[in-house]
Amino acid sequence: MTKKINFRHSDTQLKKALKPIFAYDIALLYPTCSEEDKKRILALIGLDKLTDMFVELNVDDQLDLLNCIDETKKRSLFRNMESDDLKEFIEDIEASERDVIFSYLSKIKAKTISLLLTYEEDMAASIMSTDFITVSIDQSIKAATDHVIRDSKEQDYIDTIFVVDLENRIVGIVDLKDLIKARSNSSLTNIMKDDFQFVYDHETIEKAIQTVVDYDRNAIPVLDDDDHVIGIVTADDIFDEIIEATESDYQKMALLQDHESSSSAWIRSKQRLPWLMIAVVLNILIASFLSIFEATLAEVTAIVLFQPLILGMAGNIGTQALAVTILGIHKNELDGKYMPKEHIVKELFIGFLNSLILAIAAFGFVTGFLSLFPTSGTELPFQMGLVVLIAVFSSMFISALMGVFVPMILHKNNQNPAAASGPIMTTLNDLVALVIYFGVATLAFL
Amino acid sequence: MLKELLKNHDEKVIKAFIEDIHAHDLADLFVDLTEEEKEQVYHLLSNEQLAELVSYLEVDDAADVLVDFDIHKQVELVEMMEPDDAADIILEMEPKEQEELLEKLGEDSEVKELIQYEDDETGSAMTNLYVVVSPHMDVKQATKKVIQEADEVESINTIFVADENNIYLGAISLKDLLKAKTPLDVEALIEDYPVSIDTDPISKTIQAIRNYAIYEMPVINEHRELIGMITLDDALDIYQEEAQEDFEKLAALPETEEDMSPLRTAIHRLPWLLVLLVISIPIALVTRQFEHVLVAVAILIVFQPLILDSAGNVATQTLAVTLQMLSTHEKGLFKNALRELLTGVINGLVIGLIAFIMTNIFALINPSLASNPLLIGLVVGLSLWLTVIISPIIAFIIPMTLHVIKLDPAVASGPFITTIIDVSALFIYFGLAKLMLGVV
Repeated sequence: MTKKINFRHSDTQLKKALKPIFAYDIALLYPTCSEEDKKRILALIGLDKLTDMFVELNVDDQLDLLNCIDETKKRSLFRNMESDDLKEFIEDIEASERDVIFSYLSKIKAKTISLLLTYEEDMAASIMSTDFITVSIDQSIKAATDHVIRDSKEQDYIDTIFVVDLENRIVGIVDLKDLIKARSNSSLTNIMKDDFQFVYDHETIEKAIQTVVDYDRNAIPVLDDDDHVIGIVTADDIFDEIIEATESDYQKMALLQDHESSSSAWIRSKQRLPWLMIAVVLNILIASFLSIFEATLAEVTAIVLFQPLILGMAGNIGTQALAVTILGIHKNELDGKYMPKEHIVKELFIGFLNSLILAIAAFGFVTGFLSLFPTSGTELPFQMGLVVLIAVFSSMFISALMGVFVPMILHKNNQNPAAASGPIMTTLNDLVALVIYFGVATLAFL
Repeated sequence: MLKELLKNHDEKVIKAFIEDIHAHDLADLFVDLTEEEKEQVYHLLSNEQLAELVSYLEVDDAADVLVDFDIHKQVELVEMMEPDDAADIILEMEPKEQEELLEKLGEDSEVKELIQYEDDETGSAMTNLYVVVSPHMDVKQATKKVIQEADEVESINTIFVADENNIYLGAISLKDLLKAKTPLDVEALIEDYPVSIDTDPISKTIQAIRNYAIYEMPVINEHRELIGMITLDDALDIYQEEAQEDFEKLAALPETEEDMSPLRTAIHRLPWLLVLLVISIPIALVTRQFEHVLVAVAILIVFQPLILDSAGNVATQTLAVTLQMLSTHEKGLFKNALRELLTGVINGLVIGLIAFIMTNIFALINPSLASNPLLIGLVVGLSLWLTVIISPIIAFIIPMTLHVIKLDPAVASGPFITTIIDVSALFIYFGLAKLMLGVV
């Protein structure tokens, strides 16, 4: 999507070239420009585009940009920014720099932002915007329409307008299109909807997501305990929340953290090393523990032939159970029909059945393989098959159990269930599987 | 709630209840009803309410409900639904029923046009509920048109502009339109506004909706004619479905359906577990080649999971990164592969070193296990480094190859990658052991 910009153009031509490029695309381009070109871009784009672009930049580029523009422009930029975007920016910068930013804001806006900053991260109010429009129930249709059209600021959300009573409590909502087409002798009471969806400021973001998604609303009001509208949560913010949450689940499952396609190899290494190192250290600890079986291993080398098989099967069934459980927790909680018991029973049945089927299949495979390719230490393919059967069944079943229970326990203790997909789980599964495998082999052959 | 009301047979109460409730909540209650109770509900609903209820059901349930009606009612209902919802439901019907319904729908039915698009094309999710004005209209005239059509569209906040040949020109905001003073042509208010092409992948359009933070994305065809739009709420639904699919594929899960019986779900998940048996054949065969090394130095066996696990972890990381880039149609795949390889070199070196040191310590504490701790440590550390370097290469080449030959890389990559990586890791590990420990 990004277009190339030719900076050899004169200012007038460059301005023309920048006009059809959307703010998001300029934001992609901006960090790659030279200092001089950056200044030219900033001077040539309008305030609205500058604001939209500023919001898309990461915090380092944002701070850098602020150094490039004069005081007046800074003031207008902050005035033009949506309150939730401004709050996010202030949240990202160092505490010591915040005061400087606050000094550019009007008193009311500074107060709004300070208020937004007090909400905890998982509360609906923390992602709300305060740029919305209310009308009073006693206003005429014409006065209300005029108020919306004349008095709303550029950044205000006006598709839905909130109707309040004389004490400023919400009594209904009006869609802009209903207001526009209403006859002037009608009244707000006639055209507003009094059963509408909303969240309270102390409710969770999940609740807000659920409401917006289920009822296909583009914006819902956030109310305080006295039913005052203190903000709105808009569908585009919800979209961002959903994308961030699903990407983070996906990355956890793949043992990644904060991955971005633009990160260099160096950054990637730094992000991934901790998990890999934990896995290595745990694996070596397991190895040292397993060395108590050395006598068995030296005697029956054929054991090693099927070691990857057992670990792989236990690992895979665990991953499946884990993924289903994580999805189930997210989805069913959103649907409001979270049924842990039924989920557990079903998953345990599946775990049991598939472990059994696979154990029998593995028995057939091992017996057949050793009969075809005799290996030292196992003149008894049938016994080896039995050992593998027991090991496969018990390690798979235990791994499936952990895949179901660990994320549920994490979730119950208000931890992210996706955290269960780390190497600690894998290694624990390995340990259990190998102790069973080597243990049974020791009993059978020594 | 609804169930109890239905038992009382008081139509007025039930009607009032249905009138009050949001279609989403009604759909939730509806699926738990018995056949007779459903029949009862049908009689109480107006066609419009029924169409809305059907749109909020899961598509397969919706298809079941729809085919129960006679063909005339089906046509009526479909015409009342948003075309993209109707298209999804019709695609879920049996071929014969689908054909019958499509035949009865008029020639110029929107639904028919939508069905022609592939599932993953932007066109398949379009609706037509927007207002279009022409550039040469006066603002007053345009305002009038907006007010007249306001009832039939989702939102009037953004109004699209197209010329007399329906060529897309841009959009105007309602606020600008209402503030403008006549006489003035709409043309003067037109702003550049993002646009998508009907054959663009839907994932690309969804990304664009997110990036530009817009609620409606106009869709044009190859002749730049305005033919539809994608709304944010539809984009959100599609995104959630796709994200779930990606997640399931990464975990080697077949598509999950909540109401499937446990037995069928179990059988559904079996194939990927059984594949491991097949994979085990080459692994066991390779290991067998090194039997004499293993007999001589049995301690090597306990470090084998370390090598295979680490290689697997690194491969999963690269695979996930590559799959995400493929599914979002991002550019720079090869540059990315190079970075992944370099990451492997760095990470391999670090964990190889750790493994070398720890193995040494371990062997020193248990002198009976290894006659030459330094060499064993070297074999383990070096093998680890080498396998962590080749893993990203394999985890990149396999999905790319599958992508080029038009197979779904997310589904098929897993088994191939595991096999190749395990076999090559074992070759490296046991091979190095044979060379360095001098076992003949």
